[in-house]
Amino acid sequence: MAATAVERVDTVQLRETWETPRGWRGTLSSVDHKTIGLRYLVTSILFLVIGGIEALLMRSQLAVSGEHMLSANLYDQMFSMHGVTMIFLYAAPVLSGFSNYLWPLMLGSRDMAYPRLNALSYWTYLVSGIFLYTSLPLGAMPNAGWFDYVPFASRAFNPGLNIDFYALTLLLLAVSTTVGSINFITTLFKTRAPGMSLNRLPIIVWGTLTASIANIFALPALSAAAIMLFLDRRYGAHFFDAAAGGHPMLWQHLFWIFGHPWVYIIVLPAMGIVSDALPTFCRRPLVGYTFVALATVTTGVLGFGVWIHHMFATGIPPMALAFFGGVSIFITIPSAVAVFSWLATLWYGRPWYPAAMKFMLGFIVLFVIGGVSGVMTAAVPFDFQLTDTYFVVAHLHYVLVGINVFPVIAGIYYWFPKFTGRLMDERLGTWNFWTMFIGANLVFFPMHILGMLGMPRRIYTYPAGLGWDVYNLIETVGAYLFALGVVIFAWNVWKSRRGGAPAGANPWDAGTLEWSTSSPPPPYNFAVLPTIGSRHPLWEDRLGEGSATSTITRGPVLADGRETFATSPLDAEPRAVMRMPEDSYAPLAVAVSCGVIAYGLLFNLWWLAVIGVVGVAVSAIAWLWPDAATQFLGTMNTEFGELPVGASGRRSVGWWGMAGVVTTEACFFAYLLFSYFYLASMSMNPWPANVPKLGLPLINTGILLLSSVVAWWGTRGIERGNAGRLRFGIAGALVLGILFLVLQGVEYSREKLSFTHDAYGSLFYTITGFHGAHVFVGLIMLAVVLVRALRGHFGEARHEAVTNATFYWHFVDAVWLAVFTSLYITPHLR
Amino acid sequence: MAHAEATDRLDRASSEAGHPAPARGNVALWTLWFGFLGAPVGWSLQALANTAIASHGCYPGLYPLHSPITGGMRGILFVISVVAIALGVAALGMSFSTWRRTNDEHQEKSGEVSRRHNRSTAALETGEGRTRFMALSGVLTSIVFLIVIIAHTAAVFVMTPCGI
Repeated sequence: MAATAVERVDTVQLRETWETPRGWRGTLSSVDHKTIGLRYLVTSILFLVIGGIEALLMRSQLAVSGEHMLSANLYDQMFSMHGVTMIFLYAAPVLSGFSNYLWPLMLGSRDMAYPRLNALSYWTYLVSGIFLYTSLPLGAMPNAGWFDYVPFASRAFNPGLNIDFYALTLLLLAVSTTVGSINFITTLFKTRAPGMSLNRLPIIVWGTLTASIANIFALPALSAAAIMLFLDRRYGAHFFDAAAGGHPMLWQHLFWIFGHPWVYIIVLPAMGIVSDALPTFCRRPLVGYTFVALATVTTGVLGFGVWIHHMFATGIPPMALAFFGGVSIFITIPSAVAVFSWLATLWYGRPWYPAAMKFMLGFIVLFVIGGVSGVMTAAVPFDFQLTDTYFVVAHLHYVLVGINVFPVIAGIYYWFPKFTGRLMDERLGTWNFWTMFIGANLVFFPMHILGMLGMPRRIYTYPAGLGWDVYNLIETVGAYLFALGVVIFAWNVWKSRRGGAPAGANPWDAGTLEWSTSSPPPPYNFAVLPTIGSRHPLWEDRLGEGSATSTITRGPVLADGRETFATSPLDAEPRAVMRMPEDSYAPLAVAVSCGVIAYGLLFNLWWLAVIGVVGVAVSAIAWLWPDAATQFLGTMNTEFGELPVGASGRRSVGWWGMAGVVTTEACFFAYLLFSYFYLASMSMNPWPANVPKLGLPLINTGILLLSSVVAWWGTRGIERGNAGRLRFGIAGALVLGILFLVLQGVEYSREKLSFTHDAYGSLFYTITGFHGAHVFVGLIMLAVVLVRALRGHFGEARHEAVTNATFYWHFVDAVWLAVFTSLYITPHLR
Repeated sequence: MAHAEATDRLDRASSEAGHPAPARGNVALWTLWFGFLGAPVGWSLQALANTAIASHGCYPGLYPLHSPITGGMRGILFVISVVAIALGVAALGMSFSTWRRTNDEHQEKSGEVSRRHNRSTAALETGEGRTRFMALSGVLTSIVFLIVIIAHTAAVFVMTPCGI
């Protein structure tokens, strides 16, 4: 394909190909990343407002001593809903909004790697939010905090639907976040513009990538905990019941193994917003790009090693506490690197101060204050004094409001022209900043003092005469001032959306790729796909920072369908021309069906849950029905040589998605097995009471391993063009897999253990049951592959579905080895 | 073959651009990944293993102990820490070596247009050259994680293992 000047490209065909139809059909079926990104932004900010109203109700109650506007019960629900709403329904999704909208534009692509998965991620998020808030009219909102500690959250002490709403909401959100994260990872590694190597990425991309990888590893801990909690509450399991071999501390470990990485998940992309936008207003590149990129990644990794600092006061031995106290202090190194980098950029640049910049400077101030109080609480003896006081509330709000809300507002002021084609009002922006900045400090800074004075968290009212009154009144005034700032912001958005000054493509004279296309961008993002030669494609003339230049106004058009390049992970070398899927109702249908399952489980209506499962299955079939996007369509001659069109190659886009699924599922089983060994180590009784027999499970292990060998043999066959060998191999694996499940059923029927007798029984059936469910899913995949193999769909150059299905099957078998060793072998070694 | 052709074409399309990693042939990819991941993996092993041992050693069931269940607990924690330090030092050494070997990757024109981006600061300012970027990433990551690993090791010696 010859190079084409962008002004001569016929964009009519591109527009027809990519544009979502208007009307309700388009609204419900769109998979456009820009539409989804904006939906994320609007929805999450609506949840911010709802969470803010809950905060105002609490602050109104605490403004003076002895106030009883809210009962203790209602206050419990308020602070729980405030936390869950802000942390799960606002802080992370709002950043997904930015990343969904911006990534393909920044990376020089036409959409995310999995557009339909992107839509599923949003719809499931929306369903989870609606699901959670149906607890409001039922008077059963979660009431045990966003951390939901057992035993208070157990059925014995909390018998209503409150905690069940919490557990099921988290599971719905886990679906949304996991598929979203896999989408981001694959998009980053597979769909960048040619030449956009890893060292040329905007920092927000590093932030979201780190957060997405952290999600893959951390979220399964929360999912495992939520499932265990639901099973404890509704089906008589004993994971957290100390009287039957469980332990409440298991919840805390699982929750915070997830919870602390999550803190970084909801700030790293926000820090990326500042790292990308602040240099624009300093008119120079970010000082120390490599340091900041690495600081982002390092913070994400270290974030996995600090979870016990949430549990310093739980009686864990001192040396173990010291390990985590140390990391909690040293994690400030990368944060400080980023702060000094921003300050150096300001120092060496020629800064100007529109509203976006003001919010970024406010962010730096709040970040430093929140960081310093974080270092203080990282010291174990200091934390002992302040655990569960308002000092901790001050710290977490400085961190979350400072590092999330302020960069988010800055990001909206910065990218609003790209979203709408209009600039926001700067005078309102200044009022907006000062009301929010002064309000935030008024509401949160006195909390440090109140904590020192001993005011505990989560009390619904307090008596006079403790010296707390004045500080609480100041905080409440600050809260209302902050709320006024949010109202000014909303008014500015509303007013500027229609009446703001026209922005043009690049109103800030920024250097990154998203500013090269019109504002708002066309449905196809770029008329020609760019080739990237540096980190600041739009600043190359003035910087000369490398030996290369980018090509933005001419290049491949790729207009034969919804097409973009699939590129290599490190250097973005073109590997294939991807065919992206069309708009679809299936993601919405899957999300709604998941919600139906959740309501069925909540109200114990099995028929409703079954309808949901059928809905998921039917929608998934419609979604995955083979079409142009999944087919190998031959090759195309491009500037980068002859490239395959459609799914292709051993490391295709589909393979990356499957690798993400396998990784996060492996983590899920790792957390289940961690729970097994943790409870075994805490048990004062023999564990298990009866050592499991090895005979039948050993035979079953051999059968499953043999199925893997047979599947591998079949896959190797098709790689050499032998379709017959593929059919035999997959059929053999299928038969062996079914045999495994049958024998598992036989073992269950002979087993004297009970799910409801003690924690061991609960764990045994949960772990082997979930593994069996994975075998079942793997069998469905193999069956689909077999049907397609019988119909001659696969060949030597085209067998991605085979590769991915057998990859999953090998994973299921490998997990069984870990399960078998843990549950059946280790009891014999004790 | 197709991949090699695409790489080659990217090189040439880069009349203007040039391949983003011209030194990729000089350094084995696994050395870059080992340099980048070695120290974090070492720290992860140290943190997970030592936390489990230090916790269980002092709190083996439902009741805490005043001294560890085994007298050799501190020694075990130290041995694990030494392994983590060795892994971190090896990763640092390897990434430093690859960083040195990629010294000239894509730096030749840096600073021609603006004095702010001179050759000496190009690595940090522009991170040009993907191979060199990954090597430098390994150096920085290894240093940070070695600091954390050493602090953890110090705690093994300094802290009282048990007792509330």
